[in-house]
Amino acid sequence: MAPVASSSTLDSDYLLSDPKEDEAFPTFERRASSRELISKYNNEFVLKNTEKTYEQQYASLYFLRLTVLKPRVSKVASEAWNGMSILNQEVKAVDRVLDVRQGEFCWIVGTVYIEMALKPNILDEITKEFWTTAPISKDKFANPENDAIMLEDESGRVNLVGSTIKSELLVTGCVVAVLGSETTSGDFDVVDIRFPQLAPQLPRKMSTGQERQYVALVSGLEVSGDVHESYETSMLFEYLMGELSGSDDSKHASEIIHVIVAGNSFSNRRSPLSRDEESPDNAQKKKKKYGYDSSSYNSKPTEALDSLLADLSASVSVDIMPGDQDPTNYSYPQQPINAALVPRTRRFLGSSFRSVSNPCWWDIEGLRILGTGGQPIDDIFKYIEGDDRLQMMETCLRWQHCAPTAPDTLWSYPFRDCDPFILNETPHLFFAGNQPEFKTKVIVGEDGQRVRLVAVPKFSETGKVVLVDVDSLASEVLTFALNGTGRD
Amino acid sequence: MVNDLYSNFLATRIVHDQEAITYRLLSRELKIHTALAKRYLYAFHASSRSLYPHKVHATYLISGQKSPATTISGDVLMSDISSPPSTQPDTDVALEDEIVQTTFELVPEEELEEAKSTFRKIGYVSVYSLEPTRLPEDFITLAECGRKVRDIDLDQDPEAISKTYGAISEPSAKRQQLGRVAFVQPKSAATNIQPKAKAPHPKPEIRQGLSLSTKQRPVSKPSNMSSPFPLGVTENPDRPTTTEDKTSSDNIKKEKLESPPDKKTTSPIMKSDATQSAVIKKSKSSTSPSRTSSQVSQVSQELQTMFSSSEDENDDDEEEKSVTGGTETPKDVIGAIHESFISDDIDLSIDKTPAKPTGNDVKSEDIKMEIAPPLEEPGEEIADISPKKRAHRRGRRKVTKAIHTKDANGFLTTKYEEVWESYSESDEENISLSKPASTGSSTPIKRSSSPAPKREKDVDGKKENGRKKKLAGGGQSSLMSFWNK
Repeated sequence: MAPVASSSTLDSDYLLSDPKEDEAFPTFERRASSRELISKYNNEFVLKNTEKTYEQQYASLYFLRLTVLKPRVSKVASEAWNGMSILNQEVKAVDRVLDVRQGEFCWIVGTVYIEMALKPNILDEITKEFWTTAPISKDKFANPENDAIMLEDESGRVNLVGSTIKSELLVTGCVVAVLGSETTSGDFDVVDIRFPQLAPQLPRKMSTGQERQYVALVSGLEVSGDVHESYETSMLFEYLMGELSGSDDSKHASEIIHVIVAGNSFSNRRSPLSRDEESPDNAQKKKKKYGYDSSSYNSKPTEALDSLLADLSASVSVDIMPGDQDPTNYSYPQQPINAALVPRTRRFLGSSFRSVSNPCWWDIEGLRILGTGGQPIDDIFKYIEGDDRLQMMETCLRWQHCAPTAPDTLWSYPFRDCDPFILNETPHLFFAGNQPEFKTKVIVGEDGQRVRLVAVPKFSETGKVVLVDVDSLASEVLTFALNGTGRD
Repeated sequence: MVNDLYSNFLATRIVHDQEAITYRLLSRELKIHTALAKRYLYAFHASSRSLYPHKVHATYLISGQKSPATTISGDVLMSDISSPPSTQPDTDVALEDEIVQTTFELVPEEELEEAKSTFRKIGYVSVYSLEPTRLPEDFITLAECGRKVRDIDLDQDPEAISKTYGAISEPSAKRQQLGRVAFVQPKSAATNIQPKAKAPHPKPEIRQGLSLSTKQRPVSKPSNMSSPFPLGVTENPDRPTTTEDKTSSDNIKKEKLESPPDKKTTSPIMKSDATQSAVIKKSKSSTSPSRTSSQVSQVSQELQTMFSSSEDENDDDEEEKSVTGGTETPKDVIGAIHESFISDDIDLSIDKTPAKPTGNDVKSEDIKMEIAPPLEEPGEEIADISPKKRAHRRGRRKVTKAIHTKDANGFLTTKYEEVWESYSESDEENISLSKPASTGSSTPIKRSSSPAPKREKDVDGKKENGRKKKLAGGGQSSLMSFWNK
């Protein structure tokens, strides 16, 4: 075959030439590097079965959140507003929301609560038993005309009004300070608003080596084990193992020191087979069994993922984080996927394979990473208009809370002693898995914190994997495509 | 110039067998570097035009950067309008260098040129696979190759994979040899005599607290000996060495137990026989003694780690639970469990006579022969029961299997067929087995023949324990059986 002319300086036809028996091909080895989980934070995400109780109310979670975040917001607010005067009236801080006097300019701190008609509500569910209501789309709860934004603390709740508040990105559960005055109708007219802002950040350890190091972020593999499994997944794993392409690509792949599989690794689509099983004929054959019917279990996704991960773990260190489709608890924080589901991969436990919680903190060669499977962002998305995932992520960091809508609309464990989602530290890399498309940007905080935000797209839909340079925070995208799929 | 090996291989598999061959499969089959495999594919494809016109189709992989126009825009909005104005210095723009987007695309040979034109910069073009006809849109056929590759790679040392095929190696990757796969294989492959021999005791040991459990052994052993399997013979010798946990009280109990007349008749012979065989064993196989204590403890440690790393097999857990009720140290218990595992496996593996220690087998069989006459009665019993037992241990179930076949057009078709598959984990059977045994408790011989049932009787109504033991013995029981009961 005639070599095709290409504009690149690379010898792209390197692999399109006749084999020479004695030719030596390079093999690559990954650098030994530290890939620690930050147990200080992660321990709070991992719930011990013996300690789990569901007797308590969720209120303590909000209380704890306010207790921790109120001083932080107050600090920011007092810096901004103390000594300020509006209409010749000096602004003062009011400790409790209910102590606000009408006509007085003041600032208060509290937890935002947004009353939304479209939000799922247990009372509505009960009502529905008596009346039939029209089904409503639950993609978004937001309905700006009717939603009421309120601020509450231990003392009570005050309705927030004004154009400022309407234009801000706010969700239930975030702690903010608002400046304004009470109107005659008892609402609080907001003039300005402050968030806690980015938490302190550890200085990044810059490696002196010339060699680049990357962390690969992939989410939404949705491995099904079906015959019609998307072949891109295989290509991805071949790439990560350095076999897919030529030596330059292999070298690049060898610079990936860690792979984070961020949620939804298992497909929850039912295979055609399982649908067949539900046909009346089969249903009759099935005898009723008490308890769990093991014959209804579809082991294909786990088996397929297991063999893929086992291959991969032999070549690169991998962490698997659960997502909302994965076989672990649904409520946040999601517990690590039981490694017993992946028996072959499990053999790399303790060396190159880990099953981690969602969310999770890493320290990879000094790069502090906070990652989620994407649920908090997906949930925030329902509260606001628009679809700017990066802004939601950024705002999370500024709220110093990675899952503010828990436990309101994001199901969560009722923590009693701490709110593990509060960010005491700003990561260098903050990613959210299973997002509709790849987005990234760097934000810079007031104290010079620099954070790379990455919305990791679903691999099953986009074929994209994100690489983040551990040293420079630069990001790269790898796309795996079958003929034509990535072309338009 | 064309290497015969690979061209023959490819011609056979692609042209003759109508299979698709990816570079990975070729590299695995020929044990060559993947890059070399890609070149082989290329060379074969080039030569196939004259040799096998229109019989070989190539799929190419292109890597590189797509032209901006065709890139799916995932880039950042540099100036994010919606970001809070208060704290957004402009400095971050500097960090927003262009995001490198590399694309890896599979294209059929017909569309190679067209696909290439969508790339701004091409890194590599390589032959990804060769197949008899053009692949379907979703490249399903290649998945089969991937499966074959995985089967080959399975259990290979990661380092070896990296060296042979050019995969990137990860220095920290260590495949533990305690996964289920690794754990089972050594047993079934090299079925060691020792484990078999031990099989009966773990159960008794586990139930140490139960008075009679330990007694049975002497009785059961003879029965085993006369049975076609040589396992029984080795049992006695092993016991002293392997069962560190044996307490003096046990011994006393045993002595007491041995007092009954029927047992007495057999026991002296047994003992002598046992000691003999023990001697033989020790002299014959130097490995076996070492395995008994050190290996068992090692295995038990492995097991411990296994359990601690969230064991997947429910039945294991169940066993563990049932076992920990006893008075022994965890280690002993785990060792015992391990032994029971092993025994199960052996049961399952249909009395494959151990492959490795054949010498021992022969010996023990000889011994058996000698002993056989005095034990005639028990022997018969055993002959009856042991096959039965085996039969009970195993079962069949209906399984729906997906069968992939390639039709005349080269498309992969999937058929779902219901197939009977034998399995061996049901303890329903075990229970049903144990019941008859318990009814026949009056005859000591029967007891002796099947160790597990005896225990039940012995336990003086502690049937529960007996059952648990059964479970422990059954090993692979599922949780469902609990509900069935």
